[in-house]
Amino acid sequence: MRSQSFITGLGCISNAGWNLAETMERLYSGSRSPKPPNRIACQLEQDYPIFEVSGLAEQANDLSVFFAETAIKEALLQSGWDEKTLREHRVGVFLGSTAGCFFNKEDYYREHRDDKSGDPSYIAQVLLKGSIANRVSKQMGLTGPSFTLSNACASGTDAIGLAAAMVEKGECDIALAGGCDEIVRMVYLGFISLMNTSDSPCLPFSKSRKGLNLGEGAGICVLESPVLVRRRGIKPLGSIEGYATVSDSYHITAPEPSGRGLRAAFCCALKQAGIKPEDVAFINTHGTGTIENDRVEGRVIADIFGDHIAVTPTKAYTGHTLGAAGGLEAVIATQCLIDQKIPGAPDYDDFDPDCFIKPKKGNQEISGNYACSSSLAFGGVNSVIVIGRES
Amino acid sequence: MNLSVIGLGLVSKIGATEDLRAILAQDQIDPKRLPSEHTLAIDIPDDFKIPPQLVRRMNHFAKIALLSACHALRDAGLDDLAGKSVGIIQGSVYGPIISGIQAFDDLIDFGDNQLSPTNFSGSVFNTSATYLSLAFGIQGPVLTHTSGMDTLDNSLLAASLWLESKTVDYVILGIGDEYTTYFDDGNSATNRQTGLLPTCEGWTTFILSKDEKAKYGKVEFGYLENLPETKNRKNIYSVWHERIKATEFFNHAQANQACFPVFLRGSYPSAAAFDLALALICASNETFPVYYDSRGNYQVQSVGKNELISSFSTLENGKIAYYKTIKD
Repeated sequence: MRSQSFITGLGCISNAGWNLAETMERLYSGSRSPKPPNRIACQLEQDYPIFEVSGLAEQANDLSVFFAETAIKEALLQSGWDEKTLREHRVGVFLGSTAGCFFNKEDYYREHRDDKSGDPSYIAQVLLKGSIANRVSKQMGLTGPSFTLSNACASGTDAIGLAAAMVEKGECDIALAGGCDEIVRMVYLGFISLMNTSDSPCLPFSKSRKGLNLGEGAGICVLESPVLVRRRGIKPLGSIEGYATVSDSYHITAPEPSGRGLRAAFCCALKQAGIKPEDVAFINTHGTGTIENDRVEGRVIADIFGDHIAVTPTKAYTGHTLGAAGGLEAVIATQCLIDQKIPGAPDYDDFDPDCFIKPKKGNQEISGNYACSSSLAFGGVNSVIVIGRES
Repeated sequence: MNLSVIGLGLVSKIGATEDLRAILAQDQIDPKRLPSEHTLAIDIPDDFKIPPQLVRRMNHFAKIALLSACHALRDAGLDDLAGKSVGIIQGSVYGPIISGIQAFDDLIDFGDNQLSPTNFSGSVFNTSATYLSLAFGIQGPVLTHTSGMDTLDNSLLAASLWLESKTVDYVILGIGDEYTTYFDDGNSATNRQTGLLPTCEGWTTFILSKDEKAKYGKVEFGYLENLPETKNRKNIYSVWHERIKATEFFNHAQANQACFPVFLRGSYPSAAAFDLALALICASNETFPVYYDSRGNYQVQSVGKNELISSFSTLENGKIAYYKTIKD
C-alpha cells in the first residue's frame, strides 16, 4: 500500500535527551542513566531505578502536557510549520497518556482529604476542562479532532495509528500524534505492587532480566496528507504504512502466553502495509524487561520474522514511558530508518532461549525501507505500526 | 458517514432501555416522580452468561460498562459473538475514578508499600474495555479514550473509520461515567454556577454496523453549521446536552420542540451518549418528550415519520455537534 499519511516532523523528550538529536546521540553511544527517584518521594525499604527527565524547572502545568508541548514544538519546527500557518489547516491532536489522565492528581487529593481546604472539586474540574489532547489543541488554537487515547501502554502507538487513519480519511490535513506521560508516585508504587519492577537497570530480553524501569517523556510525529506534502514541496521523513491493534482477551495485566493477540496485530499491520516479514529491516520492540512480556514478544517476533531479525529494545535507554512509549519509539524508529542503523541493547549479554530473539549489544547497521514498532499493554492490548522510509 | 445502530443498551437512573420506553409511553412525564439515585446498584443477570468469577473481579466502573454492553448486544440479537468480527470502543471523561481514589487512599491510609494491585490496575482507564473483551471473548481492536466533551463525537468518528475500512463488522461503542461521593464535596459556589459537576452516573452502549437496514436506523453527525435542516428552517425535535446552547439554536432554526434530558439521566459529562440514544428511541417510537411548562413537566408528543429528531452537544472547540437520526 502506498501511504496516505506522511511523517514530516519528529520530536521527543525523555531521560535520553530533550530533543531527537540528543536522544539519538545518547542511544548510539550506548550509555544510559537510570537512577533512584529524585522528583518523587516515597517511603520504601529500597529504591527502584527510573528514567526521569533531568533538568526540569518547576513546571506550572502538568508535566505530561509540558512534555507533549516540548515534543510538538520540535516536531513542528522540523516539519516547517509555524503555529500561525498551522491554524489555517484542519489539525488534529492525538495523544496517548495514562498517568496524565488522573494519577498525577495525588497531591491535590491528599491536601483536600487531609484538611478539606481549597475547592475539593479541583480534580473534577481539571478533567472537565478537557483531556490532555483537548488542552494542547486549545492552547495552540487548533480546530481538528483531539483524542486522548488511554489504552494503557499501547496508547502512543494507537494514537499514531488512529491519527494516520484520520489523515487518510480526510478528517484532518495534519495530525500531531504520539504520546506523553510522567512518572508519579501512584504509577511508581503501582508497578512495584505488581512486582514487575526491577531493582537494577532493565535488561530487555536478557535471561537475567528482572523487570522494567519506569520512564517519562513524549514522542510526537507530525503526519500530513500526500496532497499537502506535494503542495508544500517537501521531502517527508517517512510514512505510516500499516497499523493494527488486537486484544488477546486473556487477562487484565498479563499477556496471553502464546502471543495470539500480538501475532494477529503484526500480521494485520504487515497486510495493511502490503509487505512481507522479510521486508522489515528491524523492530523497535516493546521490550520492557519483564519476564512474561519479553518471552511472549520474543516468541511472536521469532515466529513471524525469524530469530535473526534485527531488534532494538529502546526502553533500555528511556525506561518504560507508558502512554508515551509508542510515540517515543515510533520517533526513534523513524530516525533509525533514516540513519539505517539501530542502537544496541546496553548491558545485554545473556541470551534467553525462551525469548528466541537476541538483540545486539552494540549498534547495528540495517538495510531496508520498513520498520515495525510494537506495544503490549494492560488489558491484553497489542498494537503494531509499520513505518516506511522515504528513499 | 452514516452509522447503522442495531442495538442499544442503557444503564441509567431510570433503568434500562425498556424502562425509558415505558416512560415515553406516558402522555406526560413528571420528573419529580422519577428516581434520583446518584449511584446505581449494578447486578449482571445470570442469563447474560458472564462468568461469575470474572464479575467478582470487576470494579463498579467496569460493571456499569459491561451491563450496558450486555443489554445492547441482546437488543441487537448478538448474544453469541463467536466467529464475528467485533471491535470495542470505550469513552469516559472521568474513567474509573473510584478505583483511582481508593488507590490514593491506600497510599494515604496504609503507606507507600500498601497500594493494592487491584485498585491500581482497576484505575487504568481501559479497564472497562478489558473486561468487555474478556467477558465476550473478543479478539479484535480495542480503543479507550477520554476526550472531554468530544467523547461521543470522537467515538463515532473512530467507529466509522473501523467500519468503513472493514476492520470490523460490528463495533460495541460504550460511553459513560461513574459517580463518586467525592463529587458531593464539590458543592462550591463555582460548581453550582457551572452546573457541570456530576450528580449521577450512567453508561450507554451502541452496537454499530454497516447494515443497510438497522433497528434504530442510522446516525449522521457533524457540526451544526452543516446541518441542512437548519438552513431550510425545518422543524426539529432536539435533545440537548447543555440547555444554555439550545437558545442559540432556537435563534438559528425554528426548532421549538426541545428536550433537556437531565431529568431522565441526571448530569454527567459524557451523557451526550444517553441523549443520542434517547433521540434514536424517540425516532423508532415516533414520540418525543417536549419541554412543557416551567415546573419542568414534559409532554410526550407523537412525531410524524418524516420529522427530524436529533441530539446536540457542545464540543471542546465551542462548536455544536449534531447527531441526526435517520430512519430506515
